[in-house]
Formats: sequence, structure tokens, C-alpha cells
Amino acid sequence: MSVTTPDRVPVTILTGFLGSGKTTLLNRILSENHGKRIAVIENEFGEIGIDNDLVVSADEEIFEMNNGCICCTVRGDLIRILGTLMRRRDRFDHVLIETTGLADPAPVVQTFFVDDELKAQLELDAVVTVVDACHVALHLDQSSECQEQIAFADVVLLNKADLVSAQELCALATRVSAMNRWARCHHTVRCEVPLDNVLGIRAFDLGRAQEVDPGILSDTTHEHDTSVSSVGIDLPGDVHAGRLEKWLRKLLAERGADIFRMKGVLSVAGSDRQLVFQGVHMLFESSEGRPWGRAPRRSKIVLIGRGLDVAGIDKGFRRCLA
Amino acid sequence: MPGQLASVWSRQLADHAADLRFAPGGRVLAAATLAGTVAVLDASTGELLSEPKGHPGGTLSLAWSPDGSLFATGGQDGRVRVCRPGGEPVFETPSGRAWIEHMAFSPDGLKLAVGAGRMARVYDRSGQLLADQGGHGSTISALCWMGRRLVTACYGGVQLLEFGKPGTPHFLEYTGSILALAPSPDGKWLASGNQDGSLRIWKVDCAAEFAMSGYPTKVKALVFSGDGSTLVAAGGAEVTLWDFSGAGPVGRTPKVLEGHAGTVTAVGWAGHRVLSVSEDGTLRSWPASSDRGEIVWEGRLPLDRLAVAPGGVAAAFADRSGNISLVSLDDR
Repeated sequence: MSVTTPDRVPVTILTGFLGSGKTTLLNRILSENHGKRIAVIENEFGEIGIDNDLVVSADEEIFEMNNGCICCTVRGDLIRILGTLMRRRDRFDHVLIETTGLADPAPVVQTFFVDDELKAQLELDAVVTVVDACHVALHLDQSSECQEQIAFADVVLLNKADLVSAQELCALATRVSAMNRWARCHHTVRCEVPLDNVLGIRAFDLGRAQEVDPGILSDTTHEHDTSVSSVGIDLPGDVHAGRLEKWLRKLLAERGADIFRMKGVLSVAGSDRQLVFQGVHMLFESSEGRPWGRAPRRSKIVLIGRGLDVAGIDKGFRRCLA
Repeated sequence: MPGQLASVWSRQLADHAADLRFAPGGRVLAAATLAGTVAVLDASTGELLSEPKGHPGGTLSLAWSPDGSLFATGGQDGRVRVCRPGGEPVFETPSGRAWIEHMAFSPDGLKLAVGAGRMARVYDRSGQLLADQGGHGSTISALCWMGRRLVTACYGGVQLLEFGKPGTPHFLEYTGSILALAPSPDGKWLASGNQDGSLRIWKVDCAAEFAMSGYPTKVKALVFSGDGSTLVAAGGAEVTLWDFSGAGPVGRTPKVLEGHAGTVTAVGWAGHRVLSVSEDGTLRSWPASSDRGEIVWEGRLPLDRLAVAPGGVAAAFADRSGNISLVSLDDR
């Protein structure tokens, strides 16, 4: 095992189509007087202001991992570059990774699940997706990358909000939240948003997974839909550890490629602590959370994926009840 | 601790040492730092002999020519700089976008090979570009010479380019991310350490290929012994020894050396002894006859660079803060 540094440096992944305002947000983050020293890894040559910060251009290098999960890819360039940057004595306070407009965010996120060295020194903070409110409707219909960028997001900025009507903006917000129910959505003009809303989110922190809100149970009638949606299930009572593990393993083996993200807080029979977990495609991380104490024991999961068999997932999860 | 030697000297560098190498002869030690500086030190005292010009952003690699007359560095500025050990410049290349993380002089000392992004560049001693070799699907992640052959690795496999023999390079394919290469001294075997926790071994001339998987972490540290009989490789906290004598390692079980309490970050040979440094802050020495290692040095911070002096008389190593130390091994 690697030695875990107590204070891991947070990493924000910035995605969004070309022209969405990603670079505007990046420049705002860099120019704002937040006293943080930020390292930026960008994939497109842009005009970026550098002051106290470091900007490194990297060519996206996607590596397939032969670690048993069929769809696992990582960003080799990030492992290489961050491996070197993190050895510096004057460490950065925050790392920002900008992806190319058409990038699938999965390899970037998976890199931080798979590489032990990076995992010991860096922690994913959030995936922030900038969306051009004016043009995204078209992209959403035509581009799977655009759908995936929203599906992976913890924070969505509906940018250029001034260029669409209030009605259009509202319809767009509804559509985004149907795809991804846990992302926090902000309406912005020129990406003007308090930086607290994009940095320091700690969305991948298992210790904060209690905040998972499954919302209302998804409509179970859309069984043959191939679009991106999220499912939330919240059941009172305990789950059976063995059955749950078997069910999750099978679900991820069969549908892992279509499940972008997953989070849950579970009440496992026989344990007085919460079991919190989260996953990206087939990669999976879990740990013991806080004790239940006198709080009512319940188990909730949220999944975001493509063409999710909502009824099947609901049935499968219910069968895990102890 | 019984058997523990005090370090001969310790010295704080400007930042973490990205590369650490003894000059041929072992009297001089050079360190490249992530602060960008380069330090050339007297190996017996740790005294600073010279500070050749470094690389803004970080010096990432260095190399000595086999006769010790040239010293090369590369860094985050994408530049390659070659000088005399005293610091007098010989040549430098223009800066570039690709970091210079890997470099090595050919065994005859006439060529310097450098990995620059997806290109392998080969210079002569005066800075003339002899080859600008592409064909790499991703950034070059390791580089070495096997006689006249330049060996470069990246995600997807290994390329062997034979100098003085016209023809296309030879490829050894492997769908995976290679992190380090170790050629056997006789040129028969080539081993790679990989991101997926495996070793890959090629019998170079017949392109036969073997995989040894199951390491708990990626494998970044591997070196053949001077006589070529043993390959030491580390993954996780374990050091493994593969027997390459006779027919080779296939079907044999490696000897596992246990003792480190953290990931082993570098390994080396001092004669028949294996040396290893680890995130647990120790330098351990493993005599050939036993599988019990002894702690040669112990500090508070993780160690992650190791250089063994020619003849195995001393070992230099660096910790995470940029402190380098040297211990003498000749009386052990």
C-alpha cells in the first residue's frame, strides 16, 4: 500500500464543449484572488493567464487497463505529469484538469480510482461541466459525449443564460436534472459563479456520501429508453451484505459500460455503521460511514446511466433487503 | 539498530531529486531537481562541485557518457543540454513542449538518446541530430540501449531501432502501459515493469514473450544483476527476484523478499546484494544467501530515488523533501 498523505490535494475536472465557456471559467478561477496555488492541466492550447499558477499542456493519452474490468481506461498523460508535479516540495493547493471539448470524462475520473500513487496524494473534488445554454439542446440530441459530460457532472453551469429565454432555461434545467439528479445546477453568464460553487465540492468524498439524495423514485415506465437518466431508490430497513454484493457485481458486469456513476448509503444487516460507496463504470469504492445511532435505518442508491432498466434495478435492489 | 551505518553525508537539495546518477568511476554524483537546478557533488563528501545550468520548471533527467567526459540534462522546458562535468557547455537544443524525462548515452558513448514526447531523438557528441524516430503511439515512458539498439517503450509496446543497419525498427507489442525497462547485460532478455502490476519479459531475438502478473501495485523498479542471472523487481512492499540463469525464469517461482512496510520505490544491485528503498523511509540490503534484509538507513520521509556507485561501494538515495544521503557499503 502507498503511504497516504493526510491532506490530499483536491482535483477538479472541467468538461464542456468547445465554446461553452470552459476557458472563461478557468480564467476566472485563476484570476480570482483566492490565495490558492493552482496547477492546471489543459488539453487545448488556450490563452490562459498564468500568475502564481502553473499551466501544463498535455496530449490526451488514453490507456486501456488490463485489470479485469473490460471498459476501464485511464489517462496515461495525467499519471505521468501529476506523478512528477506532486513530488515538488511546494505543492499546489488545487489541481484543475481541463478536458477537450469532445472528451468522455470517464478516463479522467477512472485515473484517480486506479492509480495508487495519485490516489494517495490527490482526491477528486468534483466534475464541473460547463454547458452552452444556447446550443446544448442540439448537442444533447446528437452527441453522446455531451450527454456523458452531463451524466458525470457534480456541478453543471448552464452558461450563456442571458442568451435564452427564461422558459428555455427552465426546460433545459429540467432536462439536465432528469439526466443527472445529483448535479447542482447553476445558471451563469460568462461563467460568473461564486467559486465556492465550483471548487471544494468534495463530491467524491465518501465521508460526505450521507448527503446522497435519491429524490423521488424514477418513473419506471421508460424501460427501453437509450438516453441518459438517473435512478434513485430509497428503502427503509437493512440490506443483506452477501446478496447486495452479488447483485452489484452482476449489475456492473452486465451493465457497467452504461452506468456512468453510482453512489449509495446502505444499512447493512449486522453492522451499526453506514456503508457508503460510489462507483464510476465498473470501478467501485466503499467504506464504513458514520454510526446509525438512533437514526432510522434505510438504504439508498443513485445511479446515472444510459438506457437504465429502472424497473429491473429497482427489483434487484429490493431483493437485497434483509 | 544493530548493523546500521551512519550515513557518510546528507545534503539538502533545492527540491525533490527527479534523477540521481553516479559518474563512471563513482567519485562524482549528479542530481536533477524539480526546482530546476542540477547539482554535481563530490561523492566522498557531498560537497557541491558545480551547478550546471538547469531547466526552468524542473530538471527531470540526466545522463553521464560512459567515459565521464559528457554530462546531459533534460527537463520540463523540453530542452536537452550537454556540458562538461565542470559545467562548460557543449550543446543545447531549443526548448520544446514535450518534457525530457528519459535519456541515455549509447554504450560506445557516441550517441545520446532522448525521449521527447512521442519522438526518440538521437544526437551525436556535438549535438548533431542523427535520428528523430517516431512510431510511438504515446509519450515515451522508458528508454535504454542494448548494444547498438535503441530501445524505447510507450503504451502499446517496445520499439527496437538498430543503428548502422538500415531497415525498419522492430516492435514488441504489448497492450498496456510500460513504466520502466530493464535490459539484461548480455542483450538476451528485455523486461518491462507495467502500470497493470505485471512484468513482461521478452526473449529479444525470437520475440518470445512472457507475462508475470499479480504485483499489488504498478511495477516501476526493476534491474538485472551485473552477471545477468537475476532480475530484481518491486511491486508494493515486496521485492522479487527472478532467476534468469539457464533456460530463464519461465515456470520458476520468484524469491520474495519481505520486510519493507511501504511501497518499494527503487531497487539496485551492489555486487550480489540487492538494495531497495521504500516509502517506509528505509534503505535495505538483502544478501544473496539469505532472504532476511537488513536496514542500512532509516529516515522519517519516504525514499524514492536510489543510485549505486560503480563496484557497489556506496549507495545514494533521496527522500521526498529533496534530501540526499550517501552510505558506504564497502565494509559490509
